[in-house]
Amino acid sequence: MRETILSAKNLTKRYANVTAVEGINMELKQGEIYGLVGKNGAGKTTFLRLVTGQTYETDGEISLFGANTKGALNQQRRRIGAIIEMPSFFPYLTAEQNLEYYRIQRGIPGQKCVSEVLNEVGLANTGNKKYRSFSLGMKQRLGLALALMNKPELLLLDEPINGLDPFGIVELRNLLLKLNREKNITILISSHILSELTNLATYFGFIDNGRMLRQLSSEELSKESNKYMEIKVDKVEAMAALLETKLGCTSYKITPEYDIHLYDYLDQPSKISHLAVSNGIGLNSISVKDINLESYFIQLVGGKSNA
Amino acid sequence: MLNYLKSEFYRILRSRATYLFIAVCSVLLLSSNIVLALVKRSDETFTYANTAFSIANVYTSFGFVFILCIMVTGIIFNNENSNHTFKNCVSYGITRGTIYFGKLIIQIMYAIVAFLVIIGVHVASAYLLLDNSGPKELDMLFQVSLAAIPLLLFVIAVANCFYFIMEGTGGAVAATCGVILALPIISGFLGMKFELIRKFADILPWNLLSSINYDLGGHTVKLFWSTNGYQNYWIAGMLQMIVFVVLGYSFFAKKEIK
Repeated sequence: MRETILSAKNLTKRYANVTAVEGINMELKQGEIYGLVGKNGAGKTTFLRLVTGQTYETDGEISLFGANTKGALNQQRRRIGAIIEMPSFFPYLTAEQNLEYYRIQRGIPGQKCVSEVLNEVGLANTGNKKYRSFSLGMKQRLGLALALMNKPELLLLDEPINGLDPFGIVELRNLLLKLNREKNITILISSHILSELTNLATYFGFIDNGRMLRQLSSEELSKESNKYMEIKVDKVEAMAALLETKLGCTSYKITPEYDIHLYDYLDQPSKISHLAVSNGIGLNSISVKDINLESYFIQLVGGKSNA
Repeated sequence: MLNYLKSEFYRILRSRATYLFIAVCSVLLLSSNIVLALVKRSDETFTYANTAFSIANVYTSFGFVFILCIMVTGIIFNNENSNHTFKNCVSYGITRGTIYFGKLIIQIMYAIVAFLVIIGVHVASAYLLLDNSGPKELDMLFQVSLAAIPLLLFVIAVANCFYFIMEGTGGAVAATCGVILALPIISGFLGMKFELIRKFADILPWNLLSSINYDLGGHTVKLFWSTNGYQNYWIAGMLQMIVFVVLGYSFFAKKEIK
């Protein structure tokens, strides 16, 4: 059984009048890439701040590598790498000097790791350029370099693609996949750019208004957000009966809008239309639809807020 | 803690402000000696171009060093709040105690080095450029320094406390000035009416420093307390320093780091 790297039990963070995180329960297993999905202000960053010790919980518990006391959590934080919000460094130091400062502070042996990690994130040639002159993308890369410098077992990345150009986004995605596959690094990545997480995460957590709405694996998600055929007919019950009796198909649902969502025969719309027409059912439209992560999230959040 | 201190040394040695502060202060004091020497050269009757006058100018102006201590603290604190750099330490498990006390230690160490270099430059240039009045002024400088050092450490502790508590540099400086300057003055006024407040005002570092009397002819220093003066200055300075160290740390230990 895979080790639980990070877990939160009923984790809550309240400010004066605002509850930023409310009763979050989650588990992150070794080797997973966990995509934390949520709008701006949903509570993603507060959750990551709680994990990294930048702020303290009002209620609940965090466990990191099995440790859950304050001192032990601090010890275990040495095994993680994190970028929370925008990367921040000393503006008058170069990329190498900034990393060297933290290398000394963290007691990481071997000065070589600084140049290695700068090379890994594509900042090897910044020379004497000060951090204050870096572009947003360069700052993000330096943040990632800092997170990777101690060869972490868990990476916490808060909106890491902000400021990266398309080329940088692809590079980052490939780097994270490589780290996960080759070095078995567990990754918790938050983003509101959902298309990026689709290509990366193996597990998803959907967060809104500080609450965890849903957690599911990428397989479960693809099942739930599967492609389907939307059938609009005048006799919905009759069409449903035909699907079951003539095609032996039970993989469908009738929506509140009185449409049929069919999850089989996606490549045979003509067969379905023929079935309807030949049995005297008026066919209004038939089309194959696809729910992506974005639509799934909107559906989830919308559903909750309407509830 | 040792790693944190080493990293801070690495950083401050690469900061221009570290050197600029010492250089500017040294040059200003050096230039005062140069001016005295030049005036003496143009006017032979000028009686102040000697080491006694030059060095006395330093130890009778230690109040100004209070302000410099706030600057020293700011240089070492280095806008860590507005740069948001603390999060890189905390996220990696560096304890808040290590950060808070590490900064304080570095600030004190830098202040001592800066003090020795600046005073050293001034004294050396005085003996090189001006008439030598003998070693007695150096003894006076040593006596005043001995009494003033705990008070200066108090100022560093207060400034450090407010740099950690406040988000902005301006607020931290204002609050520090309030504690080290405004509080003694206000409580001094109130002390004219209320005896208890007067006693409290008497032991505040700014007032303790102002209470130092200089017998320039006899080359002796008179402190607020006539007996156990130095010991009491250290006790008063250290106790008040501890109050602000504990206050600042208690706040920082709970503060959300962004």
